[in-house]
Amino acid sequence: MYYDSHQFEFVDRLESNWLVIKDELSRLTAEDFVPYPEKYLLQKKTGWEIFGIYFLGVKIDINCELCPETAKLVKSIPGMVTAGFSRLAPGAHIIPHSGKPSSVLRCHLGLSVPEKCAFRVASDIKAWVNGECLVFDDTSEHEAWNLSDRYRDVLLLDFKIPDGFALKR
Amino acid sequence: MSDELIEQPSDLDLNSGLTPPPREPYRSSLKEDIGQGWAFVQFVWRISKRIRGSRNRIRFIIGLIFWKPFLPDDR
Repeated sequence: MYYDSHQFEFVDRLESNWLVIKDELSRLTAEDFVPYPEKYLLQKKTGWEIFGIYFLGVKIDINCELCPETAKLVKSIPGMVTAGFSRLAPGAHIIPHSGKPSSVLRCHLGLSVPEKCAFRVASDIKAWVNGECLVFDDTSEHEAWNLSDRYRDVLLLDFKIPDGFALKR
Repeated sequence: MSDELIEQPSDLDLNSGLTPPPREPYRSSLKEDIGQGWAFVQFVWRISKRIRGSRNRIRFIIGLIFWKPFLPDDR
C-alpha cells in the first residue's frame, strides 16, 4: 500500500532537488541504461530499463560519476539500499507482482512523466507527478503502465524501514 | 426538488490512462526461459563493468542472488 511520503524527512530534500536530478538524467544516453532482466514481469517482455546508482548496498562507481549530485543525494538518505533511474518505454506494462520481503520501503520520484502513466499498489491507483515522491510497500501487489508515446522516467530507491515505523500489512 | 441521483464521471476514465491495460495470458517456453537466463547474464555483465574492484563486483553478484546486501562497503 501507499504511505504518506512526507512522513520521511528525506522526501522534502529529494523533491526540492528534483530538477538537479532530472538534469543529470537528461545527460545520460540510451547506452547507459540496462534492460531490467526479469522480462516475465513485462507484458511485452521488453520496455523496462534501469540506470543503477546503488544496488543492494553496492556503489555503481561509473554511474555515480555520471550523476554526482544524484549520487550524493541518495547516499544521504538514511538506510538507502538501492537507487537508480527506472525507465518505462511507451506501451510498456509491468504486470501485477509482489516483491520479496526485504525490510525496505520503495520510493519513486517523478522526473519525466507523460500522460496516461499510472501505478497501482493493492487497490490504489496513482499517477506519478514530476517532482513528487510516492512511497509504497513493494510486497503489496503492484503494477505499472505507460500508455503514452514517450518514456516515463522516475528515480527509484529502496530504503530500510525506519525503527518503530508501523507497516500496514 | 427531485432526489434524482446524478452519476458522476468515474475517476478511472479509460482515456485518462488510470485504468490498467488488459493482461494477456502468460505462456512460457523453453526459448523464453533461456532468453530470461541470458538477460540476467547480460544484466550482471553490464552492471559489473561499471563497478570498480572485484570485491564490490562479487558483493553485487551475491547480493543479486540472495536479493539482500552482502558485506559492508569497504570504502
